[in-house]
Amino acid sequence: MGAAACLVGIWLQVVEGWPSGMRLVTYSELERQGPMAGAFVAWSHTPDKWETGDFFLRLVYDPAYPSDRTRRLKRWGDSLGLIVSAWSGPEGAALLVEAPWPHKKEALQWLHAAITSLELGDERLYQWAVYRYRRQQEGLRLGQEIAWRRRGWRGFPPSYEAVKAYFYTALRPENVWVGVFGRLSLREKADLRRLWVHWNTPAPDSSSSYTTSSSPLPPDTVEENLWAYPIYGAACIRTPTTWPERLAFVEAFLSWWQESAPPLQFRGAFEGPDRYCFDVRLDGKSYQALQRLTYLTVRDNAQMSAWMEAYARRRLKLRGEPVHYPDVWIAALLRGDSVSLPDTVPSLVWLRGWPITLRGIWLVQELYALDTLLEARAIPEKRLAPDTAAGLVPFETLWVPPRRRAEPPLSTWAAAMQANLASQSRLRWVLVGYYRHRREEGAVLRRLHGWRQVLIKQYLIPPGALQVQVRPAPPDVSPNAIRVVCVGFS
Amino acid sequence: MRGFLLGSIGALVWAQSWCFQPPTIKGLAQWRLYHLLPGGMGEATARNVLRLLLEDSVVRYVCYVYHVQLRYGRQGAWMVLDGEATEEGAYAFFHALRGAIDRFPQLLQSYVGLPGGEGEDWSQVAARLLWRDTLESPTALRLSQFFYEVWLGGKVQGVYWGRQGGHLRRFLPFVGQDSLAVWESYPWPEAPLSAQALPAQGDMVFYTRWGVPTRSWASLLALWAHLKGLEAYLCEEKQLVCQFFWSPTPRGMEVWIYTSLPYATAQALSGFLGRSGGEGMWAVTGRFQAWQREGDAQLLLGQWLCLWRLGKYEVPSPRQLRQAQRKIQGVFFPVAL
Repeated sequence: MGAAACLVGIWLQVVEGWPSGMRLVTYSELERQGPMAGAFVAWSHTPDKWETGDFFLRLVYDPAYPSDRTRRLKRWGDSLGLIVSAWSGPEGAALLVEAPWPHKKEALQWLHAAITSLELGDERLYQWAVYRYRRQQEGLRLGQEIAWRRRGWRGFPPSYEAVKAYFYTALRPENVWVGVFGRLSLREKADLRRLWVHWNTPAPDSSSSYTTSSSPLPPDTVEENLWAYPIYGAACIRTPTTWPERLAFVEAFLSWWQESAPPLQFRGAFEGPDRYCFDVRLDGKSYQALQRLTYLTVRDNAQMSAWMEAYARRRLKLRGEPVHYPDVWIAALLRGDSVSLPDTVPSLVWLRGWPITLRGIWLVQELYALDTLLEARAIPEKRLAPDTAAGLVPFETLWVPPRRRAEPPLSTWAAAMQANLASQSRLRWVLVGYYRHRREEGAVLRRLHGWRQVLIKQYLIPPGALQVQVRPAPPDVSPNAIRVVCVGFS
Repeated sequence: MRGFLLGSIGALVWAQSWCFQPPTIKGLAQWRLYHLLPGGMGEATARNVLRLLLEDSVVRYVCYVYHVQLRYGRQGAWMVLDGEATEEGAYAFFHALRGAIDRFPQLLQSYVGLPGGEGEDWSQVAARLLWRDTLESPTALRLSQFFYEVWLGGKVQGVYWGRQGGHLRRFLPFVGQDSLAVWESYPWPEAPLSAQALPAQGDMVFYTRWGVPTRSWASLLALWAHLKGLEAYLCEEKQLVCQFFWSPTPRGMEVWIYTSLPYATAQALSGFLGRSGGEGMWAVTGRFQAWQREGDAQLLLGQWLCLWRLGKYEVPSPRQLRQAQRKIQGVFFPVAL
């Protein structure tokens, strides 16, 4: 009896492994790790088709597109409680859904319906996608624009013919992966195969797949940025290729950056087998710290445990919400490598460290250097008197120029600041300038930076204690006024 | 005999090494600590208290070593501290926070009354305007009074996701006690304050307040669906605004809406209020289930449930939902930034 069951089991395994149409993948070790079940349909393409794939995803499911198909899909998805998202990378693209655990099976059926009911022949659909793409293009921010440039995208929507060709090559049944971040019973797997068995696109072209040979990183370019004060960057950093070490490296790198000089805005994702790419907005200090980094290794025990804990936290998030990390799970699947993340990384890895190879496009304004002036002299650190809570009156003022082109009384300000610094050496001030019209912003900022430099160089105020800011002028303040605000400790 | 003895000792040694291995990392922990700002005012005081507590050297060390992620800020009339760490990290963090609370008098010694320039988020600015709050630096005396009243007075509440939440109560024994009379003390801004002239073209925040007569799962779901409907109406149907900020109240929810098209938004809002209730309640349960599993929704929902004192989840019937939705009331008024 047992032997018969065993044989049946083996037969079922063989049947399951039979290459019939799409490929099925389950992540059984992730069953019930997170609060939601995740499912996806993914397909691979060559890296040069990334932009087309990204555009194609809009065609597959855009809940705002007014058609009967979309309305029905949306209604069904809402009744199941689906959260739909999309991902595209150099390896391929994917449509992902999150669903409550009881609706795992229906989520897979929904995905099937979304892919198979695509009406590429609907003449308004492509027009609509192009329109949406242009609308998005209009509102592009500087940061996003250079992120596109880094990927080599030109910002033109791909032609209808290109999209059609993409559909027929990338979505061929043997190129499509259907997957669940969880477990499926054999019966469910069989049902799923039966569901997808009729999925068949004609194949006018040969199959394409991602090649693992990674191109070398492009050279670092620095361009002048005339539009905005902070630095914008889109860059890639080379990572190790094995997964635990890759994740460890990225976590260490981000922790280091956060600790030494955090960027203002940051968004990053894994890309390819050995890269982590990010677009970022950062100030001069952060930029300099990044550019000076050549080798990353732990400094002491506390930092090592901080990095280990960062790794542990990220690992838990990766396993708990796999749908939110398609750049890890699905990209690895399409490349054909497996993601194994042990609980901890051996401490030797942290101790050994990694060399840093960082390349990107940077939009830099010359003024950034003013953020990075080193301390002119060492300030003797004074002990705080116990009664500072009430004692100190920080220097603050609002200066309105008595006539045009008047210079502010920098010597008076510096004396007051020095007096404050003598009792509390960690104070910080912000010189606030105002503008009425957006076009004056740069000039005001430049003027403030000039005065900051005078205060630092001539009156020996520590650079860390002075910042500048430009704000739109409130109605009750003259736009030529300068406000000096004390903002507490550095 | 001797062999048996040695063997059993060896077995014991092996067994104890099996029993006393260090605990492995099991899961993530997330928490939200929140308290009411008395009268909607005193944000600067609450901020400074939190800053002093988090600047305690032990807390800082623990946050660094355990990679604890923290974020605090104003949410409507609430002060909210959100955190995330591994379970070990959470354990260490609450230990350290308990210590910092004990050491607060010493921490206060290094306090210098300075205004903080942080928290320039639009929702916070609007809330400050609405409750006529300022960021003026409080005196040390005010700070210690506030700390005594709010933190030691048991007005801090907490929501914790993760196993082993018991330590939260052990280290912060006041958290979660039912001493908070939120129902009475919640500072309603008297609505509508004064009809503000809408600027022709400019950034503006609309404060909308939604209330239900009874607190139940049916009204919670109905209110949630109603507000999601509002978001979809403004963002997708009218394509006007897409920035919303929710803050739960004991009787409903406040939604802050950021817009750069004040006239059109005001018109759309009154259009939404004028729509008849009880429609579009299909598939609410499914959508709600999905939403409640989103990361940031969990924090909000936890706070909402604690405020409303709702127990175990019971699926309301469609009829209950329709009835509850008909009773939802809403007002809105503009707050010029």
